[in-house]
Amino acid sequence: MNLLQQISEQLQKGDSDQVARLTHEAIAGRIDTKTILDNGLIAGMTIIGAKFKAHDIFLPDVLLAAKAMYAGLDLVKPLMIKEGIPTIGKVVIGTVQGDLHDIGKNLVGIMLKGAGFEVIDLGKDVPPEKFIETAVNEHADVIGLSALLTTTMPVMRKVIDLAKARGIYGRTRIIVGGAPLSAEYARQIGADTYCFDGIKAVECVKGFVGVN
Amino acid sequence: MIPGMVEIETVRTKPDLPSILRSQGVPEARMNDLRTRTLAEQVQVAYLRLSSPIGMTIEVKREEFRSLYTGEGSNAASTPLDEIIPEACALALFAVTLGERVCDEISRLFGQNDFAGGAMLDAAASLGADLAAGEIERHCENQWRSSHSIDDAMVVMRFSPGYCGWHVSGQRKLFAHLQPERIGIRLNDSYLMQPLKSVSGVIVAASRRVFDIDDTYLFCADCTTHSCRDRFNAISEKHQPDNYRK
Repeated sequence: MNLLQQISEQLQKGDSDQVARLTHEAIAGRIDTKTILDNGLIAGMTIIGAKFKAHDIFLPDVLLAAKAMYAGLDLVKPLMIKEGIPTIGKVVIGTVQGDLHDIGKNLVGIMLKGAGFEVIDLGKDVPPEKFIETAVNEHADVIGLSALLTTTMPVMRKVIDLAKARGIYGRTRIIVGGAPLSAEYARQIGADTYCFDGIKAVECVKGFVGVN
Repeated sequence: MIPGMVEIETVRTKPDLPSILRSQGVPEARMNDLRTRTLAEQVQVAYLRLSSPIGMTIEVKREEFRSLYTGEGSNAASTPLDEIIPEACALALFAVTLGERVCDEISRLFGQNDFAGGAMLDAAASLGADLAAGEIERHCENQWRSSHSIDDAMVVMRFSPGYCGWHVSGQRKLFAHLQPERIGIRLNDSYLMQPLKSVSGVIVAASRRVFDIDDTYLFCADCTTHSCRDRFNAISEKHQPDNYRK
């Protein structure tokens, strides 16, 4: 088994120490940075995502694997920046103003990073203007909005209205998620799609940026 | 001691392993997976260490509650409590929280990339907050029974703003009356309680038949749990006359 396969295997086992050690070894062995990312780390997370979708593994397994991926990513990321290697897309995520629930949003961010996206996480209680300013300044492909309260759902519409006003609506796609939401609500407020979970979010965002 | 304050033993709110694992989507057949089970056990330990459940309750008259229940006028047109309140024998507002420390730990775990631990502790704390609300419910029930405010035929259930047609904005009046700020629970402009792992609502005592309400209200279509049926079945089982006298 080659080094990249080993990274993928250890990542799937959720062994952060081994992933860090192997990634370090791959870098020291002058394996191309993007190859380490694509064929080691992302490859491992892609298998994890497929197993999760098939109900072969469950949320704790996915999250342990994600931690292992981050252990490798922390080593690879500085090289990607240094070498100017682009990610497959940029996503701005956050929990909307007035809402402090961030577990679901965090899980979506983890899954998106695991798929190779750059994720700018604005945190929770984020004002509409902050989403739009960040998306404009960072040339984001997608904005991801999360809300867990019926009382904060209307903030999503404000973000979309602001995106229209700033002329990025349609160009920067908008996904929404959270327990009280539905596909119908997403359609009503003009979001591009409603994502039930992180797996769905990855599928949608990949579709928006034209990645299989 | 704050009037109406109820101290709750943390251990009585400890979620069991199957419930924690179920909340993470782990099916029964896979609950003995060593790694996942060990993680859940660690989460239980963290829960016990970091949760400080405390609650408060205050009795209200039917008319008082009816006024509170209208909230900001945003409830569904017809709700179960509309039918239950006129038949209620005793009512008490309540609020309960696990405190800030467990919420801080969840954030800290995510910040350290311990996503599995963070997500599982979050789920355990949600379960624990609900169990703490159950303890408050039991506390009220015991008080009412010992003071003969309710008899053996009566059962007790709790309802919260944000569920079963009671609009979440009802929190405003509930907070004004109960003042759970005294035990550290705050309400923001979105009617969100902080610490996040907090539960509030009303505890109602009435005869069993009063709670036997069909889950066919308009808002029931949006409900993903229909947990009212489970809760009704649970009190029905608990209060079968033969069982109750044992």
